Amino acid sequence: MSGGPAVRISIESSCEKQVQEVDFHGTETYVPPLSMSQNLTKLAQRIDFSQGSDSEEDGGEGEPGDREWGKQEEEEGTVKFQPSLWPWDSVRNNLRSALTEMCVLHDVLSVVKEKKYMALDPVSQDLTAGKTPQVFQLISKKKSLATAAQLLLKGAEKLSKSVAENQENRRQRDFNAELLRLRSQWKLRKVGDKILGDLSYRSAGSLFPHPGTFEVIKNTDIDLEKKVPEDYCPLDVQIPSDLEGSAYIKVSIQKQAPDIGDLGTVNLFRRPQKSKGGTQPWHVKLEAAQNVLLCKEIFAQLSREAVQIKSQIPHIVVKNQIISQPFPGLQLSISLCHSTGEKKSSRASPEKPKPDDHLYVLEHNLHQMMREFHKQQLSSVVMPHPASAPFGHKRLRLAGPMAYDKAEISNLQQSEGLLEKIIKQAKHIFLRSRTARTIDSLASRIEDPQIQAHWSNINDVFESSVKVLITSHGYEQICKSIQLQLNIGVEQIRVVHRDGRVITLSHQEQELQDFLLSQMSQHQVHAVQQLAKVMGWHVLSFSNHVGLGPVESIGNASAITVASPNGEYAISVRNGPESGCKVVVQFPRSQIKDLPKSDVVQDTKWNQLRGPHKEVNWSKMEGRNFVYKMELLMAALTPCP
Amino acid sequence: MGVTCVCQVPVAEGKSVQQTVDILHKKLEQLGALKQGSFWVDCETYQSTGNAGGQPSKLLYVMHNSEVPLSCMALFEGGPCLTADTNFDVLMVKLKSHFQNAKGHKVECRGSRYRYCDFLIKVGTVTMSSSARGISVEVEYCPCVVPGDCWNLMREFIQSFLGSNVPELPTVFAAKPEGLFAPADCVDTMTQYLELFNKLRKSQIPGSNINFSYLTPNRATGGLSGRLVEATVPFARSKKNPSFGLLFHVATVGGRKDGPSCCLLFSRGANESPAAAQSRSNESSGVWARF
Amino acid sequence: MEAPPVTVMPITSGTINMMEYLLQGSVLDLALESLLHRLRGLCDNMEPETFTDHELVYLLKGQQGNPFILRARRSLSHPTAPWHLRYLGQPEVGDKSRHALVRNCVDVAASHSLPDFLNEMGFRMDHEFVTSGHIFRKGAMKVVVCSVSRVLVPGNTENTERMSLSHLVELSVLAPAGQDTMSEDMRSFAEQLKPLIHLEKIDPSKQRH
Repeated sequence: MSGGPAVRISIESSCEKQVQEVDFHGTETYVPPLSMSQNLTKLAQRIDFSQGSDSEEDGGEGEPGDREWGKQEEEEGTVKFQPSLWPWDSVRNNLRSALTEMCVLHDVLSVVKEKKYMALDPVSQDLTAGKTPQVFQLISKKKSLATAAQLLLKGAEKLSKSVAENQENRRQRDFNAELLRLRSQWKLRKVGDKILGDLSYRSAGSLFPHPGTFEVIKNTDIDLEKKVPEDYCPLDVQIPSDLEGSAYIKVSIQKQAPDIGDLGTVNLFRRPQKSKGGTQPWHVKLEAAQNVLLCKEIFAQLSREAVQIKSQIPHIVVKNQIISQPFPGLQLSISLCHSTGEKKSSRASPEKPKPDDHLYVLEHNLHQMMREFHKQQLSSVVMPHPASAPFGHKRLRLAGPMAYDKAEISNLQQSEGLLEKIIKQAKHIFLRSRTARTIDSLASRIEDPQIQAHWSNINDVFESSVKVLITSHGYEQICKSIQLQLNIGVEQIRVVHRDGRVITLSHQEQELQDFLLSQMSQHQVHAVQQLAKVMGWHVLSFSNHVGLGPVESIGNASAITVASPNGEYAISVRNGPESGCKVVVQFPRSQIKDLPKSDVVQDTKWNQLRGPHKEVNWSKMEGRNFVYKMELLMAALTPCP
Repeated sequence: MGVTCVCQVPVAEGKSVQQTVDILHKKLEQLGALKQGSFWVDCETYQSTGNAGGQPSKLLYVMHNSEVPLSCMALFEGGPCLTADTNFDVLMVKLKSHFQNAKGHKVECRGSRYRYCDFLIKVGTVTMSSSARGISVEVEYCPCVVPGDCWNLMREFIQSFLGSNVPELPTVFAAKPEGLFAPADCVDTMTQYLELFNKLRKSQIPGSNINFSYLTPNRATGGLSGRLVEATVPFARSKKNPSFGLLFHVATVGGRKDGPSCCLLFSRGANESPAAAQSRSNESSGVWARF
Repeated sequence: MEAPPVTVMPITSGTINMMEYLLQGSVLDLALESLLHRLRGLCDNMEPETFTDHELVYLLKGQQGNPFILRARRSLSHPTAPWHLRYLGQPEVGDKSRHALVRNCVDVAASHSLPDFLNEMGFRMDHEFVTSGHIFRKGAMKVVVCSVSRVLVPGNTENTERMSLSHLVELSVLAPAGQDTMSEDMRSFAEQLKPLIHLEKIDPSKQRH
């Protein structure tokens, strides 16, 4: 308790004359110094008559202390209550009381001397002297301890009070700090005694009419006694009820039309993501609400466009779903999924095992396009220059004096809507994935000419390209005739052939498949041609589109005839996409025994002519693929040097 | 906007304006051109009133073109031209005490718009005071703005459907200080239209609208030459059919030493055949001369 | 049918009968900063923009009556922007209780050949000045805070001299005739600027002398 520093007190002698009073002007009136007689009276008053000489007292009775106390009290009483009439009055009183006492003493002593009425007994002094101090010590110790304890308690109380106060203060301060932080990230304004904030994207250029206001609530009435929860925040926000929960836009493509009863009930909810550490709970809440707002805006915009845009197959807007048919038999559905509470999400969970058919790319693009739209809105409203000119679209102002024509003006006025863009993107995505599947299925189904697809990594949202190579295994170096560049657009696929031909295919899957099949069949014949060059054979004829023979349902058959280096043999190959290949070998006449007799060619020189054809049983030929078989056949027909 | 060439196509022998236009349309369609809506070009003439100096005041032409719907072109013949937004028309209303609109001088050109690959072809009928005055053909080659680079191509293309009536290189292009290789713009097109309108205003098309002149009976002579200078006066128009009725033109007759220097010209209503107009005129007046 | 009927549609298009509602005031340069600060707070959430314009005032003298005045303005900070040609009518006398000056107004955006063209039309330039300052927007209302400088050498916009040590403040709205609620909005906006600046309706015709 005496922890504080020792206090230093400086004492200064008072001035010799006593100050009686100080005037308002500051002049001091002194008490006049005492005269000689007054001084003597004063000194005489100081004489303590009760304090007699020790010898006299000791010689007296054994109870001097008691008597003395009593006397003093008596004396004090007189001094206090009887105002002194004259200077020696107190002296006289003292002398008188001393006399009284002396008389009493004298009487007592004379009574004791008689021994008739009174006897003096020795008082056991040790006992009382030994006992009383101990009890007294105990009591005093107890007392002092009690006061010390009381002091300590008082201090503790004070401390705890100040701590609580501090906490309260800090919470208050925390609220303000939080508010400041909130203010730095969100638009706030004060309406009456409320603090309202703005969630909407209006300042970013949105035209969505939702007010998007939230209210800032002070959350300081938490019970101090209980443990403060970890995520406690003195600031809370209240968002409009229709923006609560989480929402997202779901875009998916379905191949067959679902039951009409199912429409509009797509409810697949993702669990709200755990908030990252370090972010404020209100921030998470506000961001979620803002996301809901943006999703709602996107959906509202899409629905409006879906109703306005006239298309061959009208877009259907049912509840929270927009359904459009980009291609026949294909359905693009865009739905707004908004989960407001835990209850619904748990109900939707049994449906979860459904395959995840989200088109995340499109969902992302929708958000991006919406923001682009916002930006466009914002940047189109600019200040006029010169300043006197009226407000308006900056570029429309240019339209008059710059004589913009209709096309330029319509460019300025309206860009493509969100829905149109997203449908186009969906078409492209669908076309791309189906093209990939077509190529892959062909590659896995057909082994002999191999088909390879090289997809480019970087695509436009409306266009991507793939390079398709058709090769034969083991002969990649010599058979490079078919290289196709497929540019996949929105509605169609443009095929750029190696020789520069451009073929436009529609979105129908069959068209691409047929085209690739015919290319593969042509490849075989091209491969024979290349092989002949390597083997030293001569190409006698070559045709990509043969006009003879059975009519193919897909494309045309192609054919080639090659002659052996010495001209004795000739191989003819006809390959059709459907009919398959037919290989015929022509032998020299000389090798044929049962040559029918002819009247015309009888001379031996005609023996050098080639004779009839014989078909090769191609499937029985050895070799792992067509070109290998052909190589073997050519080798077999080439005479050894 | 690309390089444009505006030219006048004469009315075919023995055919009316509309018939000639139909022939042109047919030719273009045979060529493979696609019809893409219609177009119009108009021209108002304003005359300054406050000309104290006495020198002839220049005429101010205010033109519009459906191809540039938000613009308004104001031109002085051979002088500066202004491209402005359509509020300029409102300004001209405010200026009416200083610039008087010569109502009768209003010229319009309306017709169809064809597209053939990169070419835009507009075949229009030029009308003045509700009477067809001639046929205009505008050809625009959209991908190019430098006349010198594409004139030969355009010429060849025009030849394919106009045959021998191929125009010369428009003077607006040649007249520029930078020559043929200065970029062409909307004003060049409008200047060409203005030239065409002024040409048509001064001349008349034989066999089309101004057929006969009415002269005082005793001065009826043939072989007069004159110039149409004044506005038409709509006459005997019924409210139901505003394009019906006879129209009088006041024309000056040049080269006359005696007699009136002024005569009245009849023009038939827009919905009448020339023969009907002629017979009506014959009925109502005495002596006629081919003008 | 030979020729199509003439004039099936009126050719004169454009916005007819637009009115300018105007309040004006001036502020000393010393107080400019606080006014701009206030305006930034009150006006729409856009980047505050500055401008520098060159205005030429043209007169066309007729045989009688007052000359016809046209104002041609171009932006020096945006040289490619079109010229702005403006006709301002006489202030409407009408309603005295109206809070703003109302006058007829025709705004024309024009190509850069405007000065030549006006000369050809018979207009003569009366005076020119350069004005620069800040422009704000609050809904349909436009607030222009600008200083005005006289052009010392005709045509040379580099060589100018400030007219005064204060800025002109104009609050204006363009609206079709008869929309008097506009002036109410303008008044309440002007109220909010009150201690800094008093915007009043000032009739320029009475200021001539």
